[in-house]
Amino acid sequence: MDKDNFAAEVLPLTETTFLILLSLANEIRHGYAIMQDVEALSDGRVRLSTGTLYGALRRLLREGWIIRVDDAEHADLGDERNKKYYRLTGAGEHVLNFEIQRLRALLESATLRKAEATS
Amino acid sequence: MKKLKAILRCLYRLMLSCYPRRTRCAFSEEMLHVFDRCVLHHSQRGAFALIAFFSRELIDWPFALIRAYQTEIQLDTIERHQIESGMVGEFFIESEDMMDPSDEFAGRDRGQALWMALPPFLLGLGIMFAAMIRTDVWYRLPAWQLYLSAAVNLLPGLFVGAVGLVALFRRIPDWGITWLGAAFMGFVLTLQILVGELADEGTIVLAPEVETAIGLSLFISGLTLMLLLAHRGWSRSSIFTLAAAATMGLSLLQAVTAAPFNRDDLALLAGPIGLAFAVLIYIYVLRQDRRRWAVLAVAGGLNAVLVGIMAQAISGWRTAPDAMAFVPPLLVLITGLLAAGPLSGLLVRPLLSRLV
Repeated sequence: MDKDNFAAEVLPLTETTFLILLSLANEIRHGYAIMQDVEALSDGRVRLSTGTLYGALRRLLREGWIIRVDDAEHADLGDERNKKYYRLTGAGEHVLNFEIQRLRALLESATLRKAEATS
Repeated sequence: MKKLKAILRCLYRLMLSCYPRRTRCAFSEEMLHVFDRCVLHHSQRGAFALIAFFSRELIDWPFALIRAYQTEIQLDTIERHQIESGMVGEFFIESEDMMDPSDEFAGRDRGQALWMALPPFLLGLGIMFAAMIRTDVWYRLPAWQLYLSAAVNLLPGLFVGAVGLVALFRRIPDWGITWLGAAFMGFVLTLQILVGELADEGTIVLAPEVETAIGLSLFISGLTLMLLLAHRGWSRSSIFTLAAAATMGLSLLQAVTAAPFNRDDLALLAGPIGLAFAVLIYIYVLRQDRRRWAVLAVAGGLNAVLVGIMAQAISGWRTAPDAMAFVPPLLVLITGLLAAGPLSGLLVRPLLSRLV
C-alpha cells in the first residue's frame, strides 16, 4: 500500500486517537500519564474516562500503532504493581505525521481563505 | 472521604466486571490502577470533584462497554477465520487463558460433569423426601412434621440458589451454568408462588403494572443470561436452558402436592425424574454434538411426561370440559424454554458478526 492510499484509509483520526498518539510522540507513558497529558494537550477540553482511554489503547494496539511494554525503569518507587507503558511504533509515528500534515494543510487553506476574505 | 473512596472503588470494580473476559484479563488491573490514581487526584480537590469524576466514568461506561463487546466480536470472527484456515496467528493479547474460541466446555472431566448434573437431582430429592415425610394432608399433620417437610423441600433449593449466585458473581464459569439455570428458574417460580400466596391472603396485592414490571425484569434478566452464554457457544446456552427447563418440569411435581390436589404419591416421582435429568446433563457435558441433540430431545420428552402427570392430577379433581386447557400452552412454554438455549446459541454469533 503506498503512502497516499494508506493515509486515505486511516485519516482523519478521531480527536481522541490523535491526542493519544501525540501524547506518546515524545516519550513512553503509562495509562494515567496519557490521560493527564491528553487533558493538558487539549487545554482541559478532552477529559478521557478510563473506559474510553483503554478502548482506544486496545484499538491502537490492534492496529499496531502502539506497543505495550513493561518498563521497570519507569515504575514509581513504592508501587508494587507492574505498570504497563505504551510506546509509539514506526507505523504509529507515520500515521501521526500524516495526520499532522493533513491538519497543517487544512490550517494553511483556512488561513489563506480567511486572509482573502478580509482583504 | 475514605468511605466514599472505598464505595466508589467497589462500584468501579463492579463496572469492570461487566467488560468482556479478554478485556478484563488484559486491562482491568491497569484500569483499576488508573482509576485509583484519578480518585487520589480528584479527592484532593474535594468530594464534589471526586463525584464529578466518577459521574463522568459512569456516563461513559455503557458506551465503553458497547465498544469493548464490538471489539470482542471482531476478535472472535478473526480467530474463527484463523482456526478455520489453519493459521496460528499471533495476536496482541498475550495470555492463553484469555483465548476461548472453542465451543466446548473448558474441562470436560467426569468430576465437572457430575457437579454440573447435581442441581435437578438435588431438587428432585428435596421434593420426593418432603412428600415422604408428609404422611397425610398438610392440615392434619403435626407441626413438627409440616416444618420438617418444608425444610427438606427448601434446603436443596436454597443450596442450588446459593451456588447459582456464586456462579453469577464469578461470571458464570462452566461448572456453574446448570446451577445458575436451576437457581434462576427456581427464583422465578418461588417469586411467582410468593406473590400469589400473599395476594390470596390479602397481605400484599401488587398492582398489575408492578407485576408486569417484575415479570418483564425477570424475563430480560433470563434472556440476558442466555444471550451471554449463547455468545460463548450453543453448548453453553443449551445446558443453561436445559437446567432451567428441568427445574420447571420438576416444579410441576411440587405443584401437584398443593391443595386441592394433595398428590404426594405423584411427588415421589421427583427423585427418579430428577435423577434422569441429572443423567441427561452428565451425558450432555461429556458427549459431542449429535448426542447432545438427542439429550435435548429426551429432556423435552421427560418434560412432556411431567406435564402429562400434572394433567392427570388435575383431571382427578376437576372434570370441567376446559380443565385441560392449560396443557398445550404449558407444553409450548416448557419446550420453548428448552429450545431457546440451542436456538439462541446457533443464531447469536453469526448475527452479531454480521452486524459488527
